[in-house]
Amino acid sequence: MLAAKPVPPVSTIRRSSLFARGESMVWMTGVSLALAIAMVVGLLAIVAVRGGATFWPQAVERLETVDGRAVMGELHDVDTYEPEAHVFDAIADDAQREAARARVAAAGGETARRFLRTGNRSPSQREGFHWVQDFEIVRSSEPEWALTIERREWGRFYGIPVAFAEGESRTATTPEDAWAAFVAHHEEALDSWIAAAELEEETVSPLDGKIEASRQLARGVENEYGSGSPEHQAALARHAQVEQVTRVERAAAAARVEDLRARGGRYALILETADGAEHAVRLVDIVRAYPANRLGWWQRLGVYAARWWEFLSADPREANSEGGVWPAIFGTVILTMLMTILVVPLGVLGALYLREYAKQGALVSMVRIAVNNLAGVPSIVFGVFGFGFFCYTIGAGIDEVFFAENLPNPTYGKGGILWAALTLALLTLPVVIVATEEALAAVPASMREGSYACGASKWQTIRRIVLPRAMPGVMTGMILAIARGAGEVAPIMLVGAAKMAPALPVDGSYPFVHPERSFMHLGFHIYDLGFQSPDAKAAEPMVFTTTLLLISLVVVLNLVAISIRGRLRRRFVDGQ
Amino acid sequence: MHADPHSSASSAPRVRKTPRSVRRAERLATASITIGGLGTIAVVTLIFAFLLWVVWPLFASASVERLPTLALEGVEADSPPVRTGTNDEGTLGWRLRADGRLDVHDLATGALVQRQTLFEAEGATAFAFASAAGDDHSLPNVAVGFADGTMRPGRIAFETQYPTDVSEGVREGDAYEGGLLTRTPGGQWRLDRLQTSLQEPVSLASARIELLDLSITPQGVAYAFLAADGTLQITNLQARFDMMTDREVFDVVAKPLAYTADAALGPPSHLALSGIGNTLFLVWRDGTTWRYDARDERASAGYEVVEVFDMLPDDPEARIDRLTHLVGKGSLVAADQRGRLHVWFASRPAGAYAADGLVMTRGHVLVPDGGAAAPTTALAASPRSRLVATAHADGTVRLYHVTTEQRLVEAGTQRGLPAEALVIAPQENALFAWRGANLERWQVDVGHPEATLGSLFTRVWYEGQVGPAHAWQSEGGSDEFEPKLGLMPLVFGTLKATLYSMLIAAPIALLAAIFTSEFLVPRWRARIKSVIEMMASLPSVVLGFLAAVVLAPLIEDTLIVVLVTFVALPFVVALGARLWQLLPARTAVRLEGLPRLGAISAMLPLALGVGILIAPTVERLCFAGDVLAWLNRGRGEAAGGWSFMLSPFAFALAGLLVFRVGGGWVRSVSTQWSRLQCALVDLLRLLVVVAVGLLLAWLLGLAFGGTDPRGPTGTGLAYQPRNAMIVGFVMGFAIVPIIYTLAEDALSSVPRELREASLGCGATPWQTAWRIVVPTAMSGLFGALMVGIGRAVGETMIVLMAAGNTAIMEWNAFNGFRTLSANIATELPEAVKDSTHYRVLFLAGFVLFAMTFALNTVAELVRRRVRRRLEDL
Repeated sequence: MLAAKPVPPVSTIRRSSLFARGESMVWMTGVSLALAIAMVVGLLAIVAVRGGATFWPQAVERLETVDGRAVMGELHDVDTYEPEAHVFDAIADDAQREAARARVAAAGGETARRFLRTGNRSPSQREGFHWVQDFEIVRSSEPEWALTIERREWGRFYGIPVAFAEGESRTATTPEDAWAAFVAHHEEALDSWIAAAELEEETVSPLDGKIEASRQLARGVENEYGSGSPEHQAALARHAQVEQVTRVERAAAAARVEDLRARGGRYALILETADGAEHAVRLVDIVRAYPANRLGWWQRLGVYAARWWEFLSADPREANSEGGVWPAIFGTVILTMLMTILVVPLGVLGALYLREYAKQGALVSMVRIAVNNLAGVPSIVFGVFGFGFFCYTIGAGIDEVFFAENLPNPTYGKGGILWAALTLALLTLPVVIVATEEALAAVPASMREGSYACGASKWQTIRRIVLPRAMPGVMTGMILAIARGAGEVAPIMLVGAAKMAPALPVDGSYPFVHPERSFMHLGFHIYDLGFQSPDAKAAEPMVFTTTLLLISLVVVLNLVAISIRGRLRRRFVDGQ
Repeated sequence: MHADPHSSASSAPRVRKTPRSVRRAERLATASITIGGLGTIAVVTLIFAFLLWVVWPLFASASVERLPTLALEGVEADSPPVRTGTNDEGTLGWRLRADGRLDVHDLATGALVQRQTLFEAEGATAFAFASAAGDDHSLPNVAVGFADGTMRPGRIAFETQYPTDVSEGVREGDAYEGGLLTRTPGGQWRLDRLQTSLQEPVSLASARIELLDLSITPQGVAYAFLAADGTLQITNLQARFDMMTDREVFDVVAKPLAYTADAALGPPSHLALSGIGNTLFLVWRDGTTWRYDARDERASAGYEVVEVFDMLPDDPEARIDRLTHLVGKGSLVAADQRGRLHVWFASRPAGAYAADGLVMTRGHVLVPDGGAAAPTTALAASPRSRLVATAHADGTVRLYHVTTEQRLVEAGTQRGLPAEALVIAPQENALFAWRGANLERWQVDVGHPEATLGSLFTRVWYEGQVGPAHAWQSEGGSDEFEPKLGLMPLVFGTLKATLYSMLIAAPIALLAAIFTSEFLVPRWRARIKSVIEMMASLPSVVLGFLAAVVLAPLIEDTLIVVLVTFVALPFVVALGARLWQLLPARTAVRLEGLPRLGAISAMLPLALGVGILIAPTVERLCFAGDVLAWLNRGRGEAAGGWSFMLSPFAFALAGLLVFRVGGGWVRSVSTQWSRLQCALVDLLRLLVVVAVGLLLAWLLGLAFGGTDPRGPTGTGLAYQPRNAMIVGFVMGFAIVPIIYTLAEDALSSVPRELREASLGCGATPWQTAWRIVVPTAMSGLFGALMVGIGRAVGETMIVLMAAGNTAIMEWNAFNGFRTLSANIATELPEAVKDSTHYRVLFLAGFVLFAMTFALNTVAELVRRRVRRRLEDL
């Protein structure tokens, strides 16, 4: 008999080996996710902090250095570095140079330097920033009455008010009185300035426009009948007459404007700069002034809010590095609206055709793939297309037919808001088509069948049953398209975004909407200001703020889209 | 109960017919939706078609049409011209005879418009003409040498006037005051007239001038001549107003060149002066060429020959029929007796033997079809581009583009008579050949000869370069600059950007997707996913700005910390995981959710801390204390750098050794170990890996130390603030959400049954994730990567702002590049419509379009297949 062979005890592992758990690999995947999130959060934080801090009024520092130089301004940046030997040569005095050298050596060869925004730029003094080495500072203070003045031109001015001037006469002798006088008269000066500008806009500009229109009329006659023809001669004579009469009117209007302007221009604030020189700043040139070192927390908040308001509502100054971004906000919004008006009907029609009307087959599925892939085509390619097709082909054609009198200056044959909107519409078309198709597909077949069973026609079913159910999906697609379109810069660089647009694309002059005009755009503003600006250092804070604005816009749009999508899903689930 | 079939719920009679209004609405809706839908789809194809339509002419071949032969009025058949020329539009042409007679003809009718005698017939021995007319109206562009050793500079140029006092009755095309009268589109009169002037003789030598050339240089006009007595000079004439005689006189500033006649060679046949007037070529009929270098302004004695070469090196029997300069006078073109053209220019190779470091090289040989043609009777270079035309003894003419070595046009004259003079019209739309009393004309459309598939995508030998190279340089300082339109540097830049950003993005996105779908608490999955999706919608201009303004300076300051942190991060994470394993099993399970994610996240700052801590040590050991100096100035040894660069490989190798090779053994002996024992052994293994890896890295450094990665100059790895690494980080950031979202979708769509079955069989979650879920979703992950690559290829603003935009071809992570997209964004607004540059930029757009479309199609097809396969599961 075969004895049952004792079975060797199977080593039963009751718990999985620790080595099989791959803990460190799980951690590796986890750290990737953490890294991705940290990047988003970090990026948003950097933009929020730096963009948000731009307008906070900073204290004004006054630094005196060993060689008797004094500078006054806002601290822009501090960094630590190892100075090379020749850095110390800047100090003229031997003993002090050795002392400085010893101080740095004691700190391990490192020293800090402060990057001070000293402003006070003028035609003869173009540098508005100064480096100050820590080892050469002998005294630093925050003068109580140091004023930070934002000027209409040439950026900021830092100084201590010593007097107030009205015409030739000087009043006020103490900083306090001068400041009080400034507060009392600033609004009046600004008001007269604004009134002058408005008067100019109302009286002088239309006269200029009249002369230009008359000139163009003559030019049109010349194009039609030929140069030197009797019709042309007559038109020229008419033009000369109009011009003569208008010039007289214009001179009178301009004199009134000048008079008004002079009324505000007689006030000036006399300031002492860091180096002791006196400098007069006209009140009309001052956008805002505040005694930075005397402000309480609430007052600072007031300045902060006022600057934000200016940023959102005013025109840019100083090659876009100061003032506001209102034209860019306006341009972005108008561009996006135009794009939406163009893309949504087209996209919905396309999706309806693909989903409801076209015969489903290989061709339609190919088209669907193509439309899908169009979403992945680089935006710059759309820019190239828009540039070549809209500006140079369609636009040039329109110019030849309708605006021949302006040639060779292009009217539509160059970048403009209409062409940019069309380009962006093409770019976002797949987004809308895909979202709408998904929404159409999500409408249960039973609803359609029910509708047909009640005797409704196909169009009635689509209009009354399908489209209302699909509406949130269409809205999601629209908002996603807006979010994508609002942030795209590469294509619109080619088809009409401008560094500085002379006039808004929608304004009060006939015909009110000017689709051929170039426009400013927040995204392009960031690129241009950050990279093409002549004074990049001064512009940097503004770029951060603009970035903050653009990101907020896009993030808000996306949040709206996400919440709509969420609601759509819930409703769809409820409807089952 | 009996229902009445005719009764209905309402009392109104039932309408069986669809109302007309509904039908009309139906038809209208169908029509408009079909039209709108088809239109939308048509628009999509329109993009493709339009790009092709703009690009297409680049590759169209040149065309030629022969116009009827003209008999030139008042020209004798037996008086060949020494030089001919036309105005810009090709409507007027002049011919100068050796006896000084200058005729101007209307090239449409052959009528004589103007005749004058430029100089007295006797004694003219040598003629020289500047290749470009020169826009400066005060500078001479012609020189005539005489038998008595004098030379007369002068100017022959067309000028355009707009007369307003044209009398009634004059018609368009009439000869008028020695010029041609036409109407402008605006209706004005326009008068084109040849203006000529010849200055007083300047005495240069005591014997007859044999050969003469002149160049318009930035300093003025330089003349070079060889006189019968062997005087060889480069001469600058400096104009001075003489108060005594009340006339302008010329001071001669001569640079004598050493020349002794060689009996064996005989007298030279051509003399050529370079475009900047300081290099002179003496050329003999058999191809022998002497090059003189007269750049040194202070040389006291005569300038010597610096290089002797044979222009026709292939054939000892060959002789030069004609010689000319290309536009800019940087290249010499010699036509030999078999109709071939040899193009020579100076380049600066590394081992040049000539004293001035330059060597003349034959960059191009242009061969007629069939390898040979009849001897060359006339040779003309275009004043605008690198086109050359030849006329041959059998009466044929050919038009070549030199740089791309194409023969564009080949045509014959009516009676097969050889041309005596040939001119390419300045606008390159016509070719004129003078023969006796006749003029042959061809209307030519050269298209875009400088752009061919070959020149766009392969190496091209540009003037002045050592050899064929890829280059993109679309704009230069002068009119004579030749645009270099090679797309390869841009394609390379695009690939480099894609590679570096995928290196960052692909691992982060895929691993993060795996964690999200497999290990993250379900409640948090949706939240985290929408945060990362939000990242996808951040405008790229923002990322580009932050890259250039925040990240670039930050990384430049802390380069070594960043590098060390990246190497240290995996170890810190691995260490954290091993410490986590030390927790008791029950605690570990309880903390598996968010607390573990918190602990994992804490590894990031920890790694950064470790990086900051050990970076100075690493910098001292590997980079002689300063990594930027090591990279930029070649300071320190190569071995340290190699150790650092290869350390990831060293650690990977060590890990492979310890975990793969040693892993099985450890697992087999560990069956009875307790959890704590296992965890401790695992911790120990990690330390072993670190130790072995460090040792390996050190050894690798020693092994490679002999070759310096920084190249012979020590600056081959020079660090530029805007570089591929920065772009990699930031563009990686931009494409992480795209890959992540698609990859997470792919992983989540793996059916739950698969996971449950795997876990049920006893596999751990990690084993399930890695061996079951990931392989099942593999094609989906692949598709996600494809879409990511597609996005990286076309991204514009980030590379535009953070990549430096220099079109160089190096894989070095620390220098910049220029991508197709950034190139389009910077150059398209400046490009002239329909120029070659414009069309090439459209081609770049088309290439981008095609690349991304193909990538996305592959991804989409893969996704569809996966969906089907998963449905089958």
